[in-house]
Parts: sequence; structure tokens; C-alpha cells
Amino acid sequence: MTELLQNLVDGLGRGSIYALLALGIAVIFGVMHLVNFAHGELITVSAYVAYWLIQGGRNWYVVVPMIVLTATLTSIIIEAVAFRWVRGAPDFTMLLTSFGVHFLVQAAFVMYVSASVKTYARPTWIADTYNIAGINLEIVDLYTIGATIVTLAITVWILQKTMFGLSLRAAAEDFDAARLMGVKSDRVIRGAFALSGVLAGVASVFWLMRSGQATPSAGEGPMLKGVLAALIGGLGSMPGAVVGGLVLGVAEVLLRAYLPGSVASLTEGVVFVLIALLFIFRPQGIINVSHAERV
Amino acid sequence: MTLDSVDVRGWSPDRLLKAGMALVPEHRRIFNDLTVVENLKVGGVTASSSERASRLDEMVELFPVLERKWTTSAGYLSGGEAQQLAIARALMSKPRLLLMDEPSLGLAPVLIDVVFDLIGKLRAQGVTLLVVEQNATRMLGASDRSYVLRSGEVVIEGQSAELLAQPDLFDAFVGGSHD
Amino acid sequence: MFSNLKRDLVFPTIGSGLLFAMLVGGGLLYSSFGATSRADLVTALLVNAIMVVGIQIFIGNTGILSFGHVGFGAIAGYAFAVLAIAPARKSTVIRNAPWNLNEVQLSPVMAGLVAVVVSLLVAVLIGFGLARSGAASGAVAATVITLALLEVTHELAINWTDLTGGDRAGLSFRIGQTIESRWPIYLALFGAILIARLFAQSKTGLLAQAGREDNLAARAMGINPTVQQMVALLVSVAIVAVAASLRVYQIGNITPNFFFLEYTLLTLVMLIVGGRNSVTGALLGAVIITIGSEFTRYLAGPSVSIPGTDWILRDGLSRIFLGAAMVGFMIFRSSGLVNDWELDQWLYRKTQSGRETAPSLPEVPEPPAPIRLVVEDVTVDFGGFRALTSVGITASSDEIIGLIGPNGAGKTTLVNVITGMVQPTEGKYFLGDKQLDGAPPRMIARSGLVRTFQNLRLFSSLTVRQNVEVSWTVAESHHLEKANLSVDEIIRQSGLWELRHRRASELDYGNSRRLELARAAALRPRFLLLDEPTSGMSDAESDRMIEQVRATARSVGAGVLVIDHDLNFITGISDRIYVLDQGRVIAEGTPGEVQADPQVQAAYLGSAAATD
Repeated sequence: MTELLQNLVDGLGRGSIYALLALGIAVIFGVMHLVNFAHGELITVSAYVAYWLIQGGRNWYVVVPMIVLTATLTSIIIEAVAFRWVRGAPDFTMLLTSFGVHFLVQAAFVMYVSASVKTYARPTWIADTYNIAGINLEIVDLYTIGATIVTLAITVWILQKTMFGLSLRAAAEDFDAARLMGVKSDRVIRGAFALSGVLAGVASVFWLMRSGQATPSAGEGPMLKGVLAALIGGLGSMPGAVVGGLVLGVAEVLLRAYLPGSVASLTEGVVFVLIALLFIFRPQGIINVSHAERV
Repeated sequence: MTLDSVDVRGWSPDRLLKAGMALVPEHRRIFNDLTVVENLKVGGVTASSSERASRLDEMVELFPVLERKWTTSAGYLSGGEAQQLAIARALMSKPRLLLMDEPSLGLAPVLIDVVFDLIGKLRAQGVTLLVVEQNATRMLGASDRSYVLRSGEVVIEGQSAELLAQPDLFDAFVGGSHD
Repeated sequence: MFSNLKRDLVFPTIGSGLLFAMLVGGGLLYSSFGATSRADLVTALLVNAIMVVGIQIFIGNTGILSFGHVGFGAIAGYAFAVLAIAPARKSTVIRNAPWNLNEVQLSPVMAGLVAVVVSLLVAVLIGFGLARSGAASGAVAATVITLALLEVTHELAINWTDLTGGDRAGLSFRIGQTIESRWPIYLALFGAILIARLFAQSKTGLLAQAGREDNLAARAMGINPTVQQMVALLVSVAIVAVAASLRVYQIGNITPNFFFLEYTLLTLVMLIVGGRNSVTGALLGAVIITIGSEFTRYLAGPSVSIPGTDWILRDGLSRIFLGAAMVGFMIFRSSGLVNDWELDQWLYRKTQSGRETAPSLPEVPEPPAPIRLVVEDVTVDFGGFRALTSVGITASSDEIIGLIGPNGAGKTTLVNVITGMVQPTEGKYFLGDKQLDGAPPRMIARSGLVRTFQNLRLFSSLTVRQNVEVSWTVAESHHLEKANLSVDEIIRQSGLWELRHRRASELDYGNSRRLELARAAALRPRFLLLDEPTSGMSDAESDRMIEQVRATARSVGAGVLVIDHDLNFITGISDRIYVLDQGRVIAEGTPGEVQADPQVQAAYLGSAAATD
């Protein structure tokens, strides 16, 4: 029982990161129908910024806001340089564009930094645990979950209460109708990338605190997880993406804990197979956030 | 194409809205995932927040039906309510000219009455309306002047009352047996 | 298997030979001047070309973006390596291989064949998955499923160390034991090009391309694109497996990263730079990217030093080149350099076009015994909205029936019901004595009810003739009774003969409408359901359309049910007319009767009082 609880918290911690990434991917998919395979680059760039800052003697209080800022700016820049030119193109074209951007950024780091792993000091408390009633909880998991709750609450507030949020949701449902109402497509798409960047920034903070290393492909793994989580939730559904991320995180931890030894090392593979099966049987995602019936 | 003798060809929708022109699109195109009040706010996206607030108050008065469903998702509205929402949403930008594309499409006869009542009310408030409608008799009754288009050409234009009085209106309208 | 032997078999074979000769000739010429490293580069190019052509067969014909083909390559590559490496060598790296595979040794050819079979088995599974997920051109689900394959094979390769030797060591042949001669590569390359070209020209390939262009229209015509997608996948994977085996054999080892994201990028860039819908394009892309990568590598290498360029001419430049090529082509030219241009088809048109003679207009045949389309009490509810209320219609295949009504009356819904795209809430309908309600669209199309769409749904990047051939092929495969007209006669009759080699997307509006009718006629329909065939046409054009509809219906012996809200057109063409309003039939009769009916006038003009 204690073990299960510990695993659940661990899974939710991981899942929170996936949820933030997936939500960013869902926001962008909503407004421009792009499955963003370059979403991981926000983490990659942040990883190097973290490495350089810590190398330069800064502490994590400085690094955290810089990571969020970096991810946000990177997201806006990638939109301006690449994605704005393929707006409205077929899904095929946009998908491959994001795949290309992913490789370009990776190649730039190989070229100008190094292909090898750069390690930096993780926060000193990273491995600390907190004991509640005999359950050992990792502090970093609690921080991750807490920060995610706060971030999601702010995001929900933005989406529900601000004009930008309303425009974004309207554009996600019917882009042309939103334009007819006076929503500016430039502004809403750029805003979606900025929001998606902030979310990825918060996710990066906790991902990078745990990993302690920067490599040109640092973002590849979490990006794939984010895309998968967004798909589990039914691409484009924002609540679905969050739930998808949490489900994915918990499933990973539980599979790793309870699969027999020889298969446990294949957890990622098993997750992929499960998701492929899911797609074969429920192409619309697990959580079918049903749209209100159109009359 | 001019609006108050300003050439507005190629203008973006938000610029046209600011110039005072709004559209109620065909099939309504309301945002089903947004609530009624959120739909209205998006309709007022080009206005300042204080203007938006005062326009919202006006909509409450003009559309009591909508006020009762203020925080309901628009997807749950009935056809008539949805049409009213589409019109209210367009009014949020305080247009001087309101374009309506087939507002009675897919509505039951009773609801068509509601829509035409509303058209009358807006007219009384001094909003210029340009309505594309196939329910010719009702439309001719509700409008000052009308144009009849066939295959991309204006075939008839004139005072609505005079058109309504024409005996061969049906043939003229559908272009029936012109050969 | 082919519609036209000269165009679909002879010329593609000659063209494949030419492409092969140019590629190999160019390679030999290049490697004959210079270091042996040039020979290796050419070998790598030829192997990559086989791989890309293999991938093109699937992506090009079906339009489904697969990230997984390199995953099939991984499966084949490991199968080949495990089987072909000598037991003595294997005893040092994979001593504990399952099923005693460490003691097995097959000849490279046998190992390659087994590799093909193993990857085909996986492909069948993946293919069922794709079909089940409703894969269509550009579908995201398909991309995820294939990406999952790539991930899983990669994970397995890293973690199943007993079989694969794991992440670092991998599996390698004894030093020096690599492919001795290029002949197997030449053979595989020529075979791959030829198979790819013949597949694209085959009837299966044509139907797959129709599904790629417009899945809904293809289904409405009776095509089940998942069948062609499966065939394309299997052919494609077989070639990819051969290419992967050759790649492993040529390099002499395999590691998990050998067939992963980076190789996926390389092969996809090659494919899209040239043009994913063309085999010629795939080969051109392979050449350009190979040259480009090599050139950038040379620029970044030690032999070039230009002052002030050190910041750009350095290691990693060739990867930048690949990424930039991908993004650049997607932004500026997403259909690639040659789009769907094929060398052999170009040669065919150049040499044969003048010899094609327009067929004379066919004589009108004896009409077949008429058959009746009966719709009984059909009611359709969408949520709370009742679109149709017990609608009944009877039509005979020797008449032209008009269906009119104002916008929103339910006309298109009725056609959607009759063609199986919308299930009626209540009611039945029959063609002859065959009950059709509940049958899927393609079965209904097969039984002879063929529709057109209000918004044109042509196969836009196929030519006029191919559009008609798609229907023709479908009709043929259903063993429908012999056609009255040939493909060329149908094209001639619809007035499109001069435009037969044009893409459908290049036609003007009137000709597009005519092509749509011709395409429907080639399906050998018993009934044509035309949804607003004149929408957007001028009066003169719609008069011409009346003639074409009549002539087409007569010559294929089909009845016509035509929907329009243009009363002028409908009264000009119909023998009888049904009038729909608010989802009900409010009148029925000859054009004259209907026009005089006050209820019809009220429906069109709107009733003055709504309270009745």
C-alpha cells in the first residue's frame, strides 16, 4: 500500500511534466492543426541555458525564471522563423516542418556546443525525501505537482477570463469564424506559441532539475511523451492533454514497478505499444471530451 | 466596394469591424465550446473592455432568452437561441451596417418569426441591415429595398413593397419559364 | 492489372532502365576519378536510393506519412545480421542468443529473404492497425502508429542484448567480411525502381492514389482504400527490408541508432526534396541530398579553409543542411522538385500523344430493362433536429427525376441517406428488389447508385483520364456487366478529350463539373444522383449541362436523380419533379404541374404567415 502510494506520487510528478508539455502541444494543435515535433527543442535550449548559468555560478533561483523565459522566447522565435510560413498548409507539410526544425536545432547545438553530454549541478535537495506517515515522498515530485497545479490554475484563468484566452478558444474551435469576429490571427497564433512556451518552460524546470544534463537531443524524449500524452487525451482537447499526461506518467511508473524484471527495461516500448493499440481501437483518444451536440 | 465612400476592398475582418461592419455568418458559426457570454465577448473583441461591458448590458435587454442561458455552453442552445446568439454576437461590435446570411435557415416557422421580429427591432434602432434570405415574402415584408440575384447577376431591384405587389413574383424570383 | 499496356508496362520498364542507367552510370563515372572513398559513397547512395524508393511506394501512393519505415528497416537489418554473421563471431557478442540463433548461419541471400519475410509479418500487423485507425492521407493516428513501431524496435534493439548485442557493441561481421560485389545492389536497385513504377501505374496503385487525393470520394465510389494501402505497405516494406539488409552487409555492422530518427530524417528528406509522389523524384532527391551532404562535409572538413567562415564551415554542417532542406522544402516547395513528374510518362506523352486518335462519338445503345429506385417513409433526426420527415420517392431508370426545394429543405440529406453516408432514423429504400438501407457507401455504389458532390470532389492531382480510369477500374473489379462505353469514349463524350492529360486541378469550373459527371458515368451506374451539378454556373453553361446529363444518362443507360435549387435548370431537364420543404415532400408532378402549385410557390417565397 505504501509502495503503491509512493509510486502514485512519483507517477503524478512525472505525469505533471508530461501534462504541461501535452497542454502546450494541444494549444498549438488547436489553433493551427500542427503536431509540434519541435516542442522538445524548448527543453533543449533551456537545458543549455541552465548549464551555462550554473557553470557561471548562478544558483537555481536565477536559473528557474531564466528557463521559463528561454522556453517562451524560443517558442515565439520558432513560430516566427518556421511555422508562420506553413500556416494553413496540409497536416503532412506542417508535421514535417516541425520534424525538420527539431533536427535543425539539434544540429546547431552539435555544431556550436558539442555532441557530448554537458552536466551541471542539480539542486542540493533533489534527492531529499519527505516522510509522511511512513510514506517516503520525493520532494521534487511534490514541488513538480505543486508548481503544475499553480501553472494550470493560471492557465485556466487565462483561458476563461482574458480576452486572449477567449479568442484562443474561439479560434481553436472555428478559426475563420473567430477571424470574422475580429480576432487577429497573428496575435492569437503568436500568443498560443507564447503560452505553449511558458508551459514548456515550467515543465523544463523540473525536467532539468532531475536530469542534470544538457545534450543536443535533451528534448527528444520528453517531446515524444508530450505528443503521446496529447494524443491520449484526444489531440486538441486541452483538458484531455492534462489528463493524458498524468495517465502516461502514472502508467510508466506503475509498469516499471510491476512488470516482471526482464520486461521492465522495455517500459517505454510497452507504453508505445499500448498507445499504438489505443489508437487502433480508439483513434479519437481515451478521453473523448465530447463537443456539445451541434443543432 | 466602398463603405461610406471609403474603398474597403481587401480589408481584414477586424478592420472592417472597426469601420462599423459586422456579419452574422451562414449556419451561424457560433462557438459551441464557449458559453453564451463568452461568445458575446469574442464578438466584442475589437472593442475596449468598458465598451464591451456596456454592450453586454444592452444584449441582456435585447435578448432576454440569452440572459437566461448566460453561462450555458452555446452548443446546448436550441436553433432559435443559437441564431439569436449569432446576431447578438455580431451586434457586440456596435456595427452601423449588419450583414446577415440566411438567418432563417433551418429554423422552425415560429422561430423564423422571432428572427424577423428582431430584424424589425434592429431597424428601428437605426442599424442598417443587409440580409441575404430566401424566404422572399417575409424578407420583402421586412425590408425597405430588395435586390434579386440569379446566377451572379442582379435581375430585379426596387422598393420591397412594390416587388411584393408584382403578380409574377414567383417566376421572376426563381427565373421559372423565361424561355 | 494495367489499363494500357504501352503506357503502364512498356514505358515504365524502359523508364526504369533509363533511371537505373543514369544513376549507376553517374556513380561509376564519379568514382572512377578519385579515391576509393568515392566508391563507398556511391555504394551508400545506391543503397539509400533503394530504401527511399521503397518508402516512396507507401507514402507516395497512399499519402500517409509513415515515420516507421526505418523501423521495418531495423527489424530486417537485425534479422539479416543475426542470421548471416558467422557463428564463430556470434559466440563472442551474442553467446546467449534465443532459439540458439548464435549457431545458425545462412548465406547472405537466404538471410536477406528471411529478413524480408520477418518484416512483412510485422507489416501485416501494422497494416491492420493502420486500417483499423481509419488511416487517410495526412492522418495523425497513422503517424503515431508508425512512430511507435520505430520507438519499439529501437527500445528492443537497445535492451534485448542477447539478440542484438545492445547499444554499444551492436552486431558486426568479421572485419573485412563485407559485400564483395555491387551486383546484388544493382539488381535490387533496378528491381526496386521497376516495382515502384509498375505499382504506381497498376490498377491497385491508381486506386491507392485516388484514396490519397480524396478518401471520402473514393469510398463513395466503392473503393476501400485500406486494401490498396495494405498492398502498398507490403510491397514497400519488402523493398525497405532488402535495402536494410544491403545497408548492414555493406557497412558490416548494425547498432540501435543505425535505423532510428536520424536515418528517418535522411530518407524522408531525400523523398520530399525530389517529390514524394514520384519515383523519379525519390531518386533525384537521393542524389541531391547525397551530393549536398558530401559537399557540406567537405566544406566543413580540414581541406577547405576560408578566412572568416570558420563559424559556419565546421563539424555538423551536413546535419544543418539536412534540417534546412527539410524545413526549406516544406515552406517553399512542399511537393518537391518534380512533384509527380515521371520520366517514363513524360516520354510516353512526348512520343505517343500525337498517335492517340479521338474515338468517334458512340451510338446510343438499346436501353436496358428499367429498374426502380424506391424510397419509403425515410425519416432522419440529427440530435433534436428533424431533417427529413417520412419522405417517399419513386424513380425509374428510364427517367430523369428532379428534386428541388429551398436551401435547408433536406435535399442533400436525402442523397446522403440513399448513398449510405447518413443512416435513416426510420424508413427503407430499394434499388430493384435489393434493399439498400444499412449498407455501407461502397456497397451501395457497387449496386449501381452513384453520386456526385455539391462541392466538387475530384482526384485533383490525377489527370482527367486517370480520374475516369479510377471509376472504370472500380466498375471492372466488381464484375459489373460490360460497359457501353470505353474510358476514351466517355472522355470524348463529355467534351474533355483535348484536356485528357491535364490534372483535374487545372480545369476550370465548368470542365470540372463535366469531369465529375464523366467519372460517375464510368462507374456503370443504374442511377446517377447529381447534387447541384450547375451550382456556380452561368445560364448558358447550365443549358449545356442539361444536354450532357441527358446524353450521358442515355448512353450509359442510367436513371438520374438531380438535385438543384435552380428551378430553371430542373424544369428544363426533368421528366418529373419532387419538391421538398422543411424535410417533407410537399409536391410531385411534371415540371408544369409543380410550377403552378401554390404550395411550391409558398415554399420558395416563404409563407407570409408562419402560424399555419
